[in-house]
Amino acid sequence: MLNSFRQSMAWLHTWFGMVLGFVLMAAFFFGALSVFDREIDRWSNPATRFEPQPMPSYDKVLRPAFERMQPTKDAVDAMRPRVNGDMPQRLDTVVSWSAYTTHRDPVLALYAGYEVPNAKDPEEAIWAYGTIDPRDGRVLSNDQLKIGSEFFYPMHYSLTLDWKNLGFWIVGFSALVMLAALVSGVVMHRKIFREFFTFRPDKARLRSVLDLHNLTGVVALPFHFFFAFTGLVIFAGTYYFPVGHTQLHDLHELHAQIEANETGLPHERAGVPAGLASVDDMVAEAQRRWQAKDKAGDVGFLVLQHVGDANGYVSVYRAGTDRIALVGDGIHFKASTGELIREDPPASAVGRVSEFLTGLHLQHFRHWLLRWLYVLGGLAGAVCIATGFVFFVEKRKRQHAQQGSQGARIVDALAVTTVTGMVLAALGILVANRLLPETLPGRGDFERYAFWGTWALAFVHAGLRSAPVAQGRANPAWREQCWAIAMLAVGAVALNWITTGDHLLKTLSAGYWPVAGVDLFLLFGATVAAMTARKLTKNAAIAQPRIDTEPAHV
Amino acid sequence: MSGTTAASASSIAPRLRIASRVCAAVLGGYAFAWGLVALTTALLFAAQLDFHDAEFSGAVIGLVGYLVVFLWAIAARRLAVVWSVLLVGGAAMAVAASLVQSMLV
Repeated sequence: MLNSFRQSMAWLHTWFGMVLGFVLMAAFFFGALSVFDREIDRWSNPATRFEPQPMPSYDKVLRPAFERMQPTKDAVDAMRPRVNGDMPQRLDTVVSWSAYTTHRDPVLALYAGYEVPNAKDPEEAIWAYGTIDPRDGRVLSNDQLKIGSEFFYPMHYSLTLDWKNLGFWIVGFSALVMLAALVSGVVMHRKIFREFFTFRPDKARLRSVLDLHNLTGVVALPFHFFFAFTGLVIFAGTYYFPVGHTQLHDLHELHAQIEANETGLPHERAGVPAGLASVDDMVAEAQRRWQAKDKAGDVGFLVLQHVGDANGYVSVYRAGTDRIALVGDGIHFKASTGELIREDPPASAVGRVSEFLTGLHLQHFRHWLLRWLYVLGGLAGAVCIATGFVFFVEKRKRQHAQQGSQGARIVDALAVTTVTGMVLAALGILVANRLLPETLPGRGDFERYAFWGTWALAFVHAGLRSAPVAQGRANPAWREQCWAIAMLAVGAVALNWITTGDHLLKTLSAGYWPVAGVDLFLLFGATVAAMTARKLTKNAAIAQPRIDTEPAHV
Repeated sequence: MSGTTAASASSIAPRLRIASRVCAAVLGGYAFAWGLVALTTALLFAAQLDFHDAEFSGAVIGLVGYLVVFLWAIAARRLAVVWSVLLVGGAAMAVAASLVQSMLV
């Protein structure tokens, strides 16, 4: 579009990067937090602070828990318009019962799907969700929001905007722009290898901001590219390019028929009642078979399909803690007799690539160092985007001040909101989690309000304090919100101590890393924020450094 | 960029051209990518690949294709060429995918 390819790429990098950077910031930051989502769950649900548990006995723990499950009143009401006639009092034709756990979960997630009589779409099931303590089957309230896995994690890929899957589309488009920004960023900088080793913190501010932008972008370039790309691939078939459910639906159906014939796993109920053989024996048999192939034998996912019917079957899937690839190694048994129906064959070449790519993104493996590297990669991405904002503003604000334009001021206020404001929002939900009464009805909703409320306050604050930017000076909101981060983070650690008694000396000496790790990370964040605030205060006191622009940026 | 912005603030046409180019990259690119995903999936399935393997390969190739045409749409000299390649190409591939499907089912 512009005079040269390089200039077009610079235009793309600057403008798409600035607009979608606000979303990417959230994707990177909450992605980094999601690496330790289960640990954040422990911090936010003190009743679940115990060691991870294996899949419990079906006969002793799971069956009674499944039998008690029913969809919530909200779920039943939501289903009403899609049914001819009334909803039944109790749903008892079970499509599937399933239980899911990982090597980091003390608690067990249960899912129950039921057939809906007279549903307009006969394929549609109604679902019930539950969480239990696998040691005794005790039901944990759904009001206890799992802040890591039920809030920060969805924030990472959908911003929790579920309406029409809008959030998925926004984040997905931003991921595409991330890829385009990486390619265009490389095109803009011919001396990319040198930038690997270039960081001049003492040079003029603009130069050091750009150095940090390039450094965090280039050092972690494969990481950024890989995660943006695999993130798109993971959701492509479901949300972004659902060809198998739309245009190529008939091909998909053809495949489903072939597959059902090949696997011998019935797609429909037979309509003939049947009993259930011992599921515990089936699980033991599955574990024996994995062991024979030298694979770790923890059960990750247990599914009972068509419960109570002659076509019922039980699928046992392995928790792939011993490899990067996201594997299932499913073994399937006939429910009524316990005889083996099928053992999933080894994946095809394409299947192995797919399992590896999704597994590397979703991290079901057991490797703590690798986990921390993911956090560092995610935070490097966040720093890269934040410094991109700062560079955008610093480069323009003096010129805008002379022209009387408000552009730099607005972008800067939005940058404050997305960088420090987002951290404040994340701390806001943690603090609210410790302050709200444990048994408050709808507790999880109030925690969410605290998150969005804190973020909105940060936005208002950033806007109110933004006037100096229009005169070519810095927005004091940056340092003020850094102080607020430091205080809220220390406050969260203190509140955890006061409300649960689990202070750092106790959790560290007991080696209970989920809670100790979150506390230490909060204190580390508080230290970085306080140091940043001090540095910004000092900067504000001295004269503006001279502006040193780079011709590659237009 | 700041120079061009100041110069073009008075006239509407350059802004419209930028909007059209951004739309071409985002929406035209999506149409092209959809066709590429559908056609790759259908062809690989026709070539005896498992459906989900074909679907996965289609998504990978389609996403790489989207990225390439996205960058091209921003950089290309002639906007009309961009629009026609993306829309006609995307539609042609989507039609071809449906043809492959109708031969298999």
